[in-house]
Amino acid sequence: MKNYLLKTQSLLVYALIAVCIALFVLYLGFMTQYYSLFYDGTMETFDYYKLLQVFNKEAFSLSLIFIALGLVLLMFGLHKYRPGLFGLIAVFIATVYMSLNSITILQVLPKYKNAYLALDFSSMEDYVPSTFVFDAGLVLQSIMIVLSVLFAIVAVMTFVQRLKEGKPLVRKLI
Amino acid sequence: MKNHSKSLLLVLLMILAVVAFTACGGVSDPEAEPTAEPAPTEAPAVEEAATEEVAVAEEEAVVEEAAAEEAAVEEAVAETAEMEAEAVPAEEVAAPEMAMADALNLNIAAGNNQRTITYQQATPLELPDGTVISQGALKPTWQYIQEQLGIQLNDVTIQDQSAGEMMDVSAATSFDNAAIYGGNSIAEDFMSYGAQGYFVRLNDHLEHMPNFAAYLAASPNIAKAITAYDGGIYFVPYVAEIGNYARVFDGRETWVTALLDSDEALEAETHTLTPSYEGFWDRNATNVVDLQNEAAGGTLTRDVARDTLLAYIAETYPELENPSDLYLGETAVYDMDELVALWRVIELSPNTLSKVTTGDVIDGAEITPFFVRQTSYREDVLRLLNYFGGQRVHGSDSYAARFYLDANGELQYSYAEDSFLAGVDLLKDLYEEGLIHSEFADTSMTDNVRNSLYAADDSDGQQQFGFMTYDWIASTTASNPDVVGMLPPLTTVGDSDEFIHWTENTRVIKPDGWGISTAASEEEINAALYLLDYFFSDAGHIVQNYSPPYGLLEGETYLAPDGIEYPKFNEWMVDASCELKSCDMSGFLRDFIGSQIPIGYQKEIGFELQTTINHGEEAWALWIGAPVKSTSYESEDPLFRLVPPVFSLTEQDTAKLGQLAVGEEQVDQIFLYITGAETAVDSVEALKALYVNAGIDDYVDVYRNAYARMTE
Repeated sequence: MKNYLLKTQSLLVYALIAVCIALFVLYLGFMTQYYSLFYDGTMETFDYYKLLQVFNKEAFSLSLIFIALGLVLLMFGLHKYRPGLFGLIAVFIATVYMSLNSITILQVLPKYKNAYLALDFSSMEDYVPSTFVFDAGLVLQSIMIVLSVLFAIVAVMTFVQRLKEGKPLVRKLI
Repeated sequence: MKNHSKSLLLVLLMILAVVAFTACGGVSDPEAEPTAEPAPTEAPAVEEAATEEVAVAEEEAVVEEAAAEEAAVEEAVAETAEMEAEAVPAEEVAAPEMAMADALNLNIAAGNNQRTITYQQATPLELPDGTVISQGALKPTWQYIQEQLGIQLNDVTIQDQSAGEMMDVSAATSFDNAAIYGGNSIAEDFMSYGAQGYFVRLNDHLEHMPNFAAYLAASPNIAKAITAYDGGIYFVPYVAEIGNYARVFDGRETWVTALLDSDEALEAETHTLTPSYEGFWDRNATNVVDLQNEAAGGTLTRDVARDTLLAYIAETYPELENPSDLYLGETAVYDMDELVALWRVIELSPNTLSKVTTGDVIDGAEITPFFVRQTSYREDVLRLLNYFGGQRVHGSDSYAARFYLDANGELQYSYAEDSFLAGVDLLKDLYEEGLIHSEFADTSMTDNVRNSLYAADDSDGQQQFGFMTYDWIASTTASNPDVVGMLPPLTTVGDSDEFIHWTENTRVIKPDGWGISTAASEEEINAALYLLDYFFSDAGHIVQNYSPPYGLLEGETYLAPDGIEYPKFNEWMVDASCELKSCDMSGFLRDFIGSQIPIGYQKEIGFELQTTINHGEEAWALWIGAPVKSTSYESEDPLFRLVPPVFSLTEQDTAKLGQLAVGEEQVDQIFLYITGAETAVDSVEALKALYVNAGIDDYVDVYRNAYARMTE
């Protein structure tokens, strides 16, 4: 049971970090698909591009914080050890931050997607509308929420398990 | 342990609450309520502007805004019409009842310290009342305005800075070092920065500018031309003497008569040239250039060139009393080929012409058949293309105005057109033959060539003489008493087969002017509005066009040939202009008096007409009498219609242009090609490729869209 929980915790840490990196890459190249809206489109698409650019800037900043939080999890050794008090606090900070922001993004991304689909692309020759990055964002942010919740639960379980074994509340530095 | 866990849980919950709070609002909601617009006096940051745009993402809002913008241009014009009814009579320049600053900082750049509002002459100027204007003081006109308006004017201009550079530098600090910015060729900047909130939207303040409002109401074309894409008017333009000719062809009369009408003046000549140019027109039975080339057998001498030309004139134009009548006066019916034939004779006659000019044959005399005043006017050579089948070169009176309207009313970029570039090949031939001044395109040479080729005939050791140029009547005819105005070469224009005298260059709304920074205080803005409006009052109009009252004859006017009366300069002004600026009144007014600085005002032709000397008035009469067809804002034929002085570009347009490389590099290559420089491309096809690779198609599209917005 002990090994099973720790292995699950370890897998969840790596999975979260992988999703953070995937989001970083996604938001890094988020606008590439939409440059045509800026240069070749109408004033309407131009305005939409600038709107989306603001979202992208904010989402990209969040993805950087996600990665930083993922690294914090690694620093606390949560991919190898059951958390002590500070480790558990780190887990909560990371998971709450990731999941709440993911929820926010999940709320607004469909609006951006719908606004995009409502644009008139008829003036843009050879332009093929694509919602791939929106869909990818929705999937990845959803996965992040699920992983964060699971990770928080498993971390609590391993933390309690550790306490039941009579281990100290604070585990060295973590 | 149980208590321990409870405490732990509490701590965790608190942390959770803090994190949750900070995590909220991580990304922008596209459906959020619009943020309030910044106050006019706050220069918006780029991100703020972007945030404002976020708010209009909803489809309906976008549609509404687009409709509003479309209507805005019309509103701007309509507003001015409304203001006409409320406008205070132009003579009233009394200070309005609004809080005004006591002093204004002005940043008016011209790229030339002589042309700022500060007196920069080493020689002090003594005014009729004994006041001495010394270097560093405001020029007399600006001191007078200062006194009249009761506002201290501080010139904060970096004196040699170009206007474009000034705008770039000032934009970096949100235009916060002056209340008023002005200069030449910066109208596009005013429109662009104005729409971003950096300049006061003057349409919203026309109640404080009654004279300007009345002017706009009476000039809807001008109001339309200076209205930005968002409907705002952000600057007051410098409007030249619309409806009058600008540059004309000028040449030495006695050179033509001496070479063509008799043999008396002929001296032996040894100079030869190798023909490169092969002729363009076939409007007559024979082409004189072909005839000269055939007769030359590879090397053209003066006698062969002259004899061939005279025989050709006799056969083709038997009705002419004298051969020179083909070129001079109202009988002139020459085309570009016939002009080239004459240029060849002139180029090959240094001994004859130096004697005709100075009374003695000058060894080593160099004759330049065609020149432009200075290398910064090198595009005037390109204007010759107008006469090779009516090729359009500039759509407005600006070397940067490379867009023109074709017969279908569609905007075209002349310099990249195949027909234009084919014409460049012809100019290259003319240059190779030595018919165009050898240094006309060398921008490192800043000398006034007109001075050395026209105005220095009597100087010791003078060896260089010029025949023909394309320049302003008053100053050019004043430079040499032998110089007369010449009708332009005949050409067809557009699809018409009719040969006409025409000139594309005319007086226009200039891309110059001034605007008020939104970074200024409310009191400063009020004072600035008062100042800008003053130039459209009767008093301000006279001061800016002529001089303060002490430079004018009281109670007397100058009656122009067209029957219009204008203020008349007094003797002190005329004498001073001759003493200090070689009788160049325009230069004297700008450099010494401070009038006619390129800021927002309506220029008047009266000063030029009354100071025109020598054969200047005849030149006016010749062109008006022909009449030489010209371009105008009102022309029904798009090919003869002027384009706006500047196109109002949106942020999107600017961003698109930022991705393209169309600019001066290609223009430089055109001149390098004409002059056969080693660094030049080797063909006009390569010139075309430069434009294509720089993105000329997208460049043209941007401007066509901008023009479409302006004319909707």
